[in-house]
Amino acid sequence: MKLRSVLLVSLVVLISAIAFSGVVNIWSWRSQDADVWKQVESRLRAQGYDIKINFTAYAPTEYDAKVNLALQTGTGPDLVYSRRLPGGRTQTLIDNGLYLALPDDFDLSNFPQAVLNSVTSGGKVYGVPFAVQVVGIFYNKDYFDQFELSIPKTWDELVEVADTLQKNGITPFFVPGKEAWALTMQHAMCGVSVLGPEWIKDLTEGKTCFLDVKFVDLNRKLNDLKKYYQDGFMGNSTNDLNAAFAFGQAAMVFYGIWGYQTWHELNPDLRVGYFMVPPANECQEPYAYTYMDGAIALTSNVKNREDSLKVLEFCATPEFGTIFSNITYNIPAVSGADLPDLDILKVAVDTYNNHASPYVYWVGSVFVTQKPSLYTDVLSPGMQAMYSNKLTPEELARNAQEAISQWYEPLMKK
Amino acid sequence: MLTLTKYGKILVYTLLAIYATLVLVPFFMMVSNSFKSMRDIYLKPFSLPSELSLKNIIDAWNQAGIGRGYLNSLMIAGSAVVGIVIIASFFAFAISKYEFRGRRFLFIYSMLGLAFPARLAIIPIYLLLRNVNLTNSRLGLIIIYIAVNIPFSVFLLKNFIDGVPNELSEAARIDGANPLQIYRHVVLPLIKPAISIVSIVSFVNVWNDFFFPLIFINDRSKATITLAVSIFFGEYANRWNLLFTSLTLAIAPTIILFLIFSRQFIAGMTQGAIK
Amino acid sequence: MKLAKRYLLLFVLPALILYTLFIIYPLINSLFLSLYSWPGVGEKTFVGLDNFRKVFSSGAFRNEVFNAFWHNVYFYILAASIEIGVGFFIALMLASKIKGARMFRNIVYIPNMIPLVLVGFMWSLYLNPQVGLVNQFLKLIGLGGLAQSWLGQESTALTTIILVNAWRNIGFYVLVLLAAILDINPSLLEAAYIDGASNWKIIWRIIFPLSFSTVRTLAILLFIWSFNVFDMIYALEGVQAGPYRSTDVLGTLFYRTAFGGLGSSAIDMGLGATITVFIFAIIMPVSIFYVYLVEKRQRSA
Repeated sequence: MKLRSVLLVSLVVLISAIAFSGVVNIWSWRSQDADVWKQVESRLRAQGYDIKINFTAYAPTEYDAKVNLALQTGTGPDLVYSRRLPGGRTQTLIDNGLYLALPDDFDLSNFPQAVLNSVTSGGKVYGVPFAVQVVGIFYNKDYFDQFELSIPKTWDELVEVADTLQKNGITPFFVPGKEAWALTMQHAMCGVSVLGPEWIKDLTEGKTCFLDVKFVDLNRKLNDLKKYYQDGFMGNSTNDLNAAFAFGQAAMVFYGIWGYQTWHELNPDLRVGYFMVPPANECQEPYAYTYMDGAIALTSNVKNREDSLKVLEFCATPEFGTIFSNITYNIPAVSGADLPDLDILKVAVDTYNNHASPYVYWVGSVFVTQKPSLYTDVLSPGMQAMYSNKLTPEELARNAQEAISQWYEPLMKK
Repeated sequence: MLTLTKYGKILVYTLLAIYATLVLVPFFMMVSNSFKSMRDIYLKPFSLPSELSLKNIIDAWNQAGIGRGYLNSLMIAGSAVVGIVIIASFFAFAISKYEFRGRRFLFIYSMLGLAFPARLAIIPIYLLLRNVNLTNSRLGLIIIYIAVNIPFSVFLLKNFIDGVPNELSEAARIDGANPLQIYRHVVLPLIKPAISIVSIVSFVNVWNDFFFPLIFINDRSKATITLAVSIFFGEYANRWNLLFTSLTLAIAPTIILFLIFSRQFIAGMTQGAIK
Repeated sequence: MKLAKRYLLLFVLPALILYTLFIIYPLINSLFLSLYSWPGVGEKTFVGLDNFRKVFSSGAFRNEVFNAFWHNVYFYILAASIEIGVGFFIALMLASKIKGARMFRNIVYIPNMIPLVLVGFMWSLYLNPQVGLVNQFLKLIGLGGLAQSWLGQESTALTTIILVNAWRNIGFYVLVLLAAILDINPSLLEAAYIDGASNWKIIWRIIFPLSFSTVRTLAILLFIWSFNVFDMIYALEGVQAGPYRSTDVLGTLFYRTAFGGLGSSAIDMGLGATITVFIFAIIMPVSIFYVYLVEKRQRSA
């Protein structure tokens, strides 16, 4: 009897081992990473692991719904790209047990604590971070040379640069108004420089609030910049931005370093530069908005735990960072990788290490942890409304104050 | 038939020509853009392709999984059509040619689905399939499509079977044929046109559907043609030349088929909708 | 004739089971689900009529629901005027004695053979503000001033989508109406011509009244379809139904609520089911009328 059950169990184990021999399924919102996984696969094979990696990318706008549904029905993959914490979406998945924590003995020694904070919930680590992002203004170097423009030191100089370009028949900025998140990102990257980290720190502590004249003024600055955007900008997506910027149809974009790979692919001759959004006046320093982009997480649907963990372990090594950054030109989250010899990337890494704003109000901030969130419920619809003249800069500030003071203690009326 | 004056004719021809242009130009541009480079589409929108290279076609075919999409769509739509024709004609035969209690109720009951789109019931359908582990499977889709197409198929087939004279089936019964034989040898040969209409309409419906695959299918390897193109549009959003190519690959065969069999298609689609 | 029980079961059961299990039961089950709050996993929470309160009493969600609802209504009115109105006119042209009517008939029907969602994707490329065919063409013929961001501004987005939808669907309406017009007894028209009636008079006095029942059926079907619009919005604006929710319809709102999407992290299948019950309630009277018409015609035949 006993022997029989042992045989049976071992048979079952054998069959399942055959069925899932070495296939690891990964889903992502980043189609540009496909080649990364091909290389990871061959590297693991070289190390003697018989693992096949199936990588599928979905459109970023559908990705989260897709993952949610699939994991609930048990038809999801072994590994998924997960959004950063703190954030409602990932937290919900964790709370419902759809993401699994990494084992306690998992080696995360190659990551700085700041990065790990974005994957930690309740003392457990969910996922291996893959990239950190730097956002700011990317510009077409040829146009800056052609019109002898230099990198602006203040907001007013930025407006002058735009003005010069416009007078010469070049569209100064290409803004993807159709995608609300990109407008929120624009607001946030301008905020860290124009408002400055100190002001944001005061906001977090409740020493100032969204009604402050500086915040209203930032809204107004952005609203006044509209006349330098391309015609019909509210109808454009980030895909349009990529093509337009790559083919020289606009001189500057408010974007992130992840865009470089696409621009380069579309037009290898494009020369791209980067600068931080300039501050309001010369007395202030410029800052960059930087954040951990996302992590690769183990799901509750995992069919091939052993190999998936093997893949994850590899993702936590500098070797992975090297592969990742040489293909995508993104900054890997893991320390110690060899980055490609590329000026724009060197600038971005230097910015990440030396000019990152210590205080922020978009992703990674306290203001997006509850509903109504500053990101999805206030700035995203609000920026679109302001840009289409349905909301004044003052009203946008008031909306922010009203929404956040509903639940954020320091901003509640005393 | 309305008779037109000379000027009336000129006016009608002009209007129809404008309309035909509106229909045809987008398809023409789609095919033409499939052969152009990204840069040309962007900077020279009206130029014809400078060369007829197959590079885009090969790239799009491989990366979008168009071939697999075709196979999946064919398999799903084909199986669903076979299932619908058999199940619906059985049902229609029974309620048309036989007397039993509740037959009128059964007819009205089966008509309810005509009026209520199955989309409204997507959540319970989804939970149902989840419980029997048929989400993310082509079989699950086939079952749903059969169910969704029952009302209209039953309606149309019953109409036709009603037209088969009762004397024929009576005579066959007296000759000792059992109901299955009556169905096969008496009724089926006479309702071939209806069967072909039902086949065409349900095939086109399934082929064109997007909502159910969007909800149910996760694996690219199981994606239908509509879903495959949709995923591709998300993934290669910057590569307009490949996007146009994927559309051309997904659409062109349908148009060619339609032009060959336009008469049957049009008869099927219009009769199927309104009797 | 009588039917032995086992044959009755063989003929009736397969269809009955599939249809009941996958269409009727789910429709009824939606009613029950609408009384719960449920993210799709874990425990269902019974909330009674709370979901309906969210839909009908004041609050952000109510505004979103009614914003979408009015868009559906607008969709129906505009789509019906174009697809049935213009469709009728084209059908009349095709029904007159001209050469090449069959070729035109086929051309008119081509777009209808293409999946809605692919038509949407195709036009999403043509409607791009800077490089799309539509604006480029306007610039080419010197109407550059008319070029605008069709899908990117609230004032034009929904109307543009309805036009794209009509471009795809109108062939169907044309052909159904054409069949109705050709069904009219030719001797009626001949008699009218002999009496010296003008074409307009014939159209207005004979053709239109005699094809009215077809128009009515089409109007009913279009009503049901208009409240289930999804694919076209999805392809042209995504499930966020931008800009600024100006193209949101009940279908996209339902998708976001029940299955989630960027910018709405909360998934609530119960609330989603409430929206389907709401749509159900809207089309119910029209649907019942339709089934009644179908039944009536059956019995008269």
